[in-house]
Amino acid sequence: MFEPQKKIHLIKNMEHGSARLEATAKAIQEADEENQHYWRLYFRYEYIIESTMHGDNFKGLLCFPEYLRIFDEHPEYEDDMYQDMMWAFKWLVGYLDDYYQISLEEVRHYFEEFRKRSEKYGFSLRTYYMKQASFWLETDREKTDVAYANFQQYPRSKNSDCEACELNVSMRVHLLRGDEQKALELIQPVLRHEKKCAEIPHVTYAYLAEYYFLHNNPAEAMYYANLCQNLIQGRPEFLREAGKLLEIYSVLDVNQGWKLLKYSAELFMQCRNPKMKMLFASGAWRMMQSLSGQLEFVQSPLLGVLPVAPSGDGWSVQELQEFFYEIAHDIAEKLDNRNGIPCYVPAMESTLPEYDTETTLEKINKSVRGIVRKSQTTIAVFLNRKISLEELEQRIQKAEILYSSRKENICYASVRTAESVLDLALSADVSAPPLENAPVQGMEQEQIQTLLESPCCCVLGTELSGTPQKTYYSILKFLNALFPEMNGIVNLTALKAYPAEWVRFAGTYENAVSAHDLYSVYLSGSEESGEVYGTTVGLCAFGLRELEFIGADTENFGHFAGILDKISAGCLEKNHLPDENQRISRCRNEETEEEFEIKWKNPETALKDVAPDSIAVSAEREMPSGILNLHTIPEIEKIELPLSQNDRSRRIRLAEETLALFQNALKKPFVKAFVRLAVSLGEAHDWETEPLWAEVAPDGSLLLMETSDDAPELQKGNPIETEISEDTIYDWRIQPAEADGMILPEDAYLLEEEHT
Amino acid sequence: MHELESMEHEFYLFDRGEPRLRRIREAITEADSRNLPEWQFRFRYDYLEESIFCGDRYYAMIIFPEMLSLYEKHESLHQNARTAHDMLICFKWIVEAAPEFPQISRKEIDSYFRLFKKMLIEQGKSLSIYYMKHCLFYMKVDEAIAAADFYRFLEEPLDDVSDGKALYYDQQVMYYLSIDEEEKALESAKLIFAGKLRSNALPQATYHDFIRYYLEREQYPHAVHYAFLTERRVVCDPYYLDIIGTLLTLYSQTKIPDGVKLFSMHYELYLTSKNPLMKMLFAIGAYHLFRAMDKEKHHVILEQLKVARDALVFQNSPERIAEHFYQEADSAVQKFDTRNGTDYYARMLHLLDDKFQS
Repeated sequence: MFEPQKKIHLIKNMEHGSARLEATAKAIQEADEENQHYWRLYFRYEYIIESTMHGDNFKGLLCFPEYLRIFDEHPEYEDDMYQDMMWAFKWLVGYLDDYYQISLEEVRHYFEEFRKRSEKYGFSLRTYYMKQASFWLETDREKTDVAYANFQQYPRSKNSDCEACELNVSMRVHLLRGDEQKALELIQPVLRHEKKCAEIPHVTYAYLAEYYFLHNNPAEAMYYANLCQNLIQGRPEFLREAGKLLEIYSVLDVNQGWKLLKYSAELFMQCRNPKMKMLFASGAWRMMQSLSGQLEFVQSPLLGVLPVAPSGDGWSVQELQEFFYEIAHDIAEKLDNRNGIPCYVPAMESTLPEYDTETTLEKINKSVRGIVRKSQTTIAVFLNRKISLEELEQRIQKAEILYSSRKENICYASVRTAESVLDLALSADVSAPPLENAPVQGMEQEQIQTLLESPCCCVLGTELSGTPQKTYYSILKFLNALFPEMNGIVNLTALKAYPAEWVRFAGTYENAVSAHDLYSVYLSGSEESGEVYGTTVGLCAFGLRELEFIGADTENFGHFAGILDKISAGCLEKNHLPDENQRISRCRNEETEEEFEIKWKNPETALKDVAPDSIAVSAEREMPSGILNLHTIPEIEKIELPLSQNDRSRRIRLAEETLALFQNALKKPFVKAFVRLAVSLGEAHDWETEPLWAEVAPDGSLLLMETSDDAPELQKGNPIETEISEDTIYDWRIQPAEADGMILPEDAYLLEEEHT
Repeated sequence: MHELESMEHEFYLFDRGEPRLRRIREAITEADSRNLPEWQFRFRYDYLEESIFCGDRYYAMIIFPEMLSLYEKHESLHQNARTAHDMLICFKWIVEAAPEFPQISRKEIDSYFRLFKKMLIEQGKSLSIYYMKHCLFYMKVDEAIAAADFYRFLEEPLDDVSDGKALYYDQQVMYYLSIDEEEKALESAKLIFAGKLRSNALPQATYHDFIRYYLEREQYPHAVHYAFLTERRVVCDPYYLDIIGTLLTLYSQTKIPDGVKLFSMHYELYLTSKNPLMKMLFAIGAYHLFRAMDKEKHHVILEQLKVARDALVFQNSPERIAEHFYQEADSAVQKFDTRNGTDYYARMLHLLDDKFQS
């Protein structure tokens, strides 16, 4: 018996992609067999959405004509479903240009039909003209201009694309006209993240990267390419954008391009959308061309999906080059023939601009952008006994990894994280890094010394991708699986050391890693001038410029360091540092109610103007950095920096996750314990709750430690009856009998059995 | 014009409910006599709002067709952003209230929904609220349509016509419980229970969802926990007569004396309510309570009831009272279930049959 609700729950609880598409296809089949027209339409629409939003839209394209026919045959569902049908129709006309199999006559027919139906259902023709402009954008300037002018004449309606998508098209039109200034002006709301959607700013970044690449601005091109890649890697619906990036990387960053290519190879083989395939193949061909100057063969199990046979040395670069060229050229020719205008073949035949990559990199570092090229992260793992490279390789193979390989003295592994794939390089039995004089945070110097005396050290190197804390959690989880017997780790990039217990803890609890674990703040001073200078170490590993502050002296440097620390943590949580002269943080002087904005300046210009004799001027900068001139902010002791909402939620989740450890500790002798709970304010306040701190008495009862503004009758010291549970807990603190100080959820590993 | 404005300001001087409704009705008559569409519409909006939030929604159902016809007749009302928006808000309330009246057919309800959707589309609004209300109705009518609606509701963005975050999560709770996904429901309720999200009807409506869920599964201690949190928030409010009905059913199995007290407090409200759904749900609860009393021989407590005016009908017999409420409930249940084409309310009425027979 056909039970649509069961099908709906099944489908909606599946991950997006091919499995969900298949399940929807089965539901369509059953609805057809049962002749249930409502559900025939419903599941077809779902199928089209899935194919369009989370795939290459090929199957959606095939499904649409039948969907439209059923819709027309059953006017009884017209009122209920015309909105869905018009959305599906809009998507269809949006990707007509991708398929050379659809003749120009058919394209015209579909557009005409879309126009008629838009009018019938009272939708503005704005979308119709916008899709026309998009269709001709790459091939016919005149038709684009006419359609774009019409698009602007009509108001938005319910069937319109979102504002972000519309701005993106406007930007493209102006870039095409060579009016960069107007294009940038229009796209500002997208670049400021005020307008976004499922595909914006992803595709916007790709278009800007392509534009700057072709218009003699490689630094800008790389900037947007980096932003784009973070959003699109591993997603089938963005294969065309991946192709654009490959073309850019083939000139500016072959290593980055190679990574993108191999991780996208499987998506490329699965893709049935000709234009996406053509653009990716074209970029991959350019990549292989660049590699051919350096290598004869490439190795990666991820290339096993390609129909090119490897030899003993791997895949021949020449053969891969030919493979991609043939696909790209074949489709480009067909698309040009369909459009009757040569466009894609000439684009393939054109020569790409040549740039000096070193100069480009230098420009990026000196630019006014907050986002920079990621630097490598290196983590040293200290072990009790020596392990050979062979043993390391065996351990890697046993761990949950995508694939591993070994070359000379290095083992390579790819680990799937919640968001993407991490490439790791590991070496066994490396000499311990000379950390004695290095400023390592996180452990006492004595503990570090013990760590360094470990007889073996393995070193892991990787380039991080995805959300910083989540990625770091995945690395720690992997290290736990690989080295259960470790003594501890030192993050050599952020210069932070941690004992094995913490690594186990942070690799188990998803919310244990805080932004502060991913970088350090270091200070140096001049006795002569009394000046103190501070900088972060580690932000560069996440593609963010390191931040420095100037303007402090021996009196106030602690407060300045606090400001820098909070700003850096906020930027890391967002995985974003604004560009020069844009606001990073807003501060407020509570007394005067004055507000201040904190921005960074490029060191080159900032220091020369503001503090030509500062010690920061003479500091050696290995990484691109930005200067915060904090001494421009008056009355610093009264400034309150905004707290991060993300970190607040993380800490609440961690308090919930580690509640069992806390409750266990309450059963043993303790000096002091506190909880922050959702306390009920009582009947007079409609039983509302408010998070309030309470002290836990030795008998387990709770005594209020603060008052509520809403319920002043609740006095400090009042007993409260709220039960400590995952639903009520916000935070906790405890000092066990033998501990020196308070333990917080972040240090909950100290409450585990072996510690206590 | 100035007089009408003053009349509107005066509404707030009248007690909420019937007195204020009477006053607004007078204002409507005045605006009608002057033939001023904007004021005719505006007062009707006030009237409808008052009936929805401080009454039993009966008068809202009466005034709405008038409002709709005014709106359709006068182009100026479409052009005015405020009235166009108000029309959507009224529609939102009505599509939720209409199913509470069995005299409104499925066809009419569906046509209201269609018109509401069309209007939302025309004004370029999110369909989130449409799918939410449609799901709410179809949860009792057609599980498949409700499922399709629910996921669309989640996918659509919230906007200024939507009910806000608190009710957004409450809808999720209600739906997940209806498909026996307790864990997901608890997750969705988290912010409401922690007091971080609230509205006029929350958290009591969310607690009520859980009471019904545990009641149907005979997990009485869980249901009692939520009933404790709910009761104080809903007593003596005609808006919550349905929740009182659920509490009566629960107390029939857990603490009959409390149930009797609650019944006694709300019997008058029941008699005056013009909302068939609320009356039916109260009657179902009262039937359960008195059936249980009869079974447990709770004759003494019966004398404390403030039902003197019906003493002759009831003759101080729980059995007779149970019989009376059964008849009332059953007659309403049949109307609702026939209209909806399901046995949703019949199952509710017969929820405790096994217990009464054993």
